[in-house]
Amino acid sequence: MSPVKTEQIPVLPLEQHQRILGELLLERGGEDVLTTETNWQAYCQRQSPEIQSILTGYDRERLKLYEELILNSVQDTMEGMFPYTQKLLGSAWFALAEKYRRDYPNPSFQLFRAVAEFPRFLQTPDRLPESLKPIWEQCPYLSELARYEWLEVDVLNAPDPVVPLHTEPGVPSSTENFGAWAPVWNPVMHFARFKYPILSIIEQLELDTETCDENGHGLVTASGIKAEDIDYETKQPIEVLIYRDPESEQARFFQLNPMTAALVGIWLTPNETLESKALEKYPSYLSGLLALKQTHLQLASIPQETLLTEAQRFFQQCIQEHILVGSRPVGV
Amino acid sequence: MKPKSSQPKEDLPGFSRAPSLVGCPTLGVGFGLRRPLFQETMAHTQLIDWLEITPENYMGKGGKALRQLEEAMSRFPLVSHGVSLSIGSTDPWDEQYLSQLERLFEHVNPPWFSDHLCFSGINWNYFNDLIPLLRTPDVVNHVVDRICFLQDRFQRPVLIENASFYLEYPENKLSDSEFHAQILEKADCGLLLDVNNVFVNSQNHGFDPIAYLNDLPLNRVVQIHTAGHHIYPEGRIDTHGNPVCAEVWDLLDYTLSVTRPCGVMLERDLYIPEFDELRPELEKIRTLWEKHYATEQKALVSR
Repeated sequence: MSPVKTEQIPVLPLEQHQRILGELLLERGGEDVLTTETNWQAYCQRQSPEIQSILTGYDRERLKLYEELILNSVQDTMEGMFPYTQKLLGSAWFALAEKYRRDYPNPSFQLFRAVAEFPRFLQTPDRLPESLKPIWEQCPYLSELARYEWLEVDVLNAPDPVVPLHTEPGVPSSTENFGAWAPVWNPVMHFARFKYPILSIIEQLELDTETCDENGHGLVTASGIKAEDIDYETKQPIEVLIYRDPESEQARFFQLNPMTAALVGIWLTPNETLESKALEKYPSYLSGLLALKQTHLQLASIPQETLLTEAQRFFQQCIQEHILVGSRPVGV
Repeated sequence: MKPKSSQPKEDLPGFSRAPSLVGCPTLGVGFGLRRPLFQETMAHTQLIDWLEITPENYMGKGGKALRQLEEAMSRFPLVSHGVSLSIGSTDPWDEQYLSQLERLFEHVNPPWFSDHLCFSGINWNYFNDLIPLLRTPDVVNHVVDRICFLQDRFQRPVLIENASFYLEYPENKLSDSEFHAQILEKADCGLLLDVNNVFVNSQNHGFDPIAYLNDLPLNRVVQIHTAGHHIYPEGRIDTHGNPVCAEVWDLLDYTLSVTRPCGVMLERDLYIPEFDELRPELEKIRTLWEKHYATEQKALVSR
């Protein structure tokens, strides 16, 4: 291979060279710089004479190819992580994914973490292209749907947890022992609260196989359901446990009712990150239940024994579903 | 215990691996571990001698990823081939990346590790793609310093891979082969030679792939990649999404006649087919490996 000799072309310091490439390939220098020759020339004109003399020798189409390769890898990852959000958005998905890739830096070497901010991105419609705003208005639950999908990805990829010392399998066999034991929740679990009935929305989306009409527009599904047909207003907000099943290593969910959500809420804080849980500081079953009864007026009228029995039934279910990994003696 | 690939012949006239790489073990025919083919890969210990893992797929993770890694470790020797080390970047090292890679290596203990000669992020913003480096003497020195740092920190051989590139900077002062050769010698590191990338680059940029190979310090080739690519109007793109083409098989044949790598492997990342469709390619690699490596020196190597 003959050596490349271009002595007459100045060479920028490497850091500056890489910064310029980063700006171009991630389109931080403005949208569509690489899309047309006119835009490219206009971009070059805005640079200092030295940089201009270098950039004019660059092959815009080759830069564009890299830009597309970068975008494709982000889009592929997003499609795998947000299948229901993608399904709902139909042909609008690609524009949205591209806008996200342009607006959000990617601080992680792991691609799945690069798209962690996508649900937050969907919270702010003013950042969306005008063409996408009607969809956002039609589907105000978009951000929550994406958050649900991200939480599943998060538990699947979380490090293996360290279960606290002295954890015993199961829950106390008698509620008389509730004062001496504290629950040990599955550490790879989110206690998530959603304003919209996300599980019901997913169920409705699962009924359908297509999201676009024959022209690739709109959100018509195979069974004729459109985005505007998705029922989200008549349902109540929901609280869900999303966790990694330690046996199957799959992501699972468990929808809570107001009573069980209040129970879980004694020990866990809704929408807390996985890392911030203080596993070893949980109160005992009994003290937790008593505190709950004192603070929840609707529970105050329930006889204590009934509450204990109901709670034990729920905890047993949590053990079966691997939501609880066991119990540990208080004060050890 | 199982019959393993033959050991390298020492009959290549004048061949002597670079002293710093002499300790790299001979592994034979390898395969890039990918989740969709995990179970089939685990079941083919007779067809595959070793596996290459992408460390980013396991770093900091538990659950299924970790279980699969442990199972793979129990069946195959593993080497590590990263995509986000960003060897040529002017950003400081990503300490989170390095520490997670260290923890992974404590677990896996690969005989060497590799990444691409490129940069994959700037300003703490990852591209998740391999962007070519400017090829100048200053950049050679910059990259050499970075590789020496890695070798010191990880205390095991570092291999750099020749990446496919689709952009030629007008300011380049060195050819791609000169650039690689200077870095390899100055950093005293190994080469992960991707013969598909050599072919793709030769077609896209108009050079002779054999001449390119002969410009490289071939006594530093420790590992070889083969893969398929796609032909688009823009040129050939290294997709790892097609079977290996005839020209790349020929190039591999030639490469094995002038090098003594420790392992040759197949990569497949896109349009991943049923495992049986990849079997002929793995068998072909073994045929070429056996052609160039003495069969009478077959040995039993314990896992």
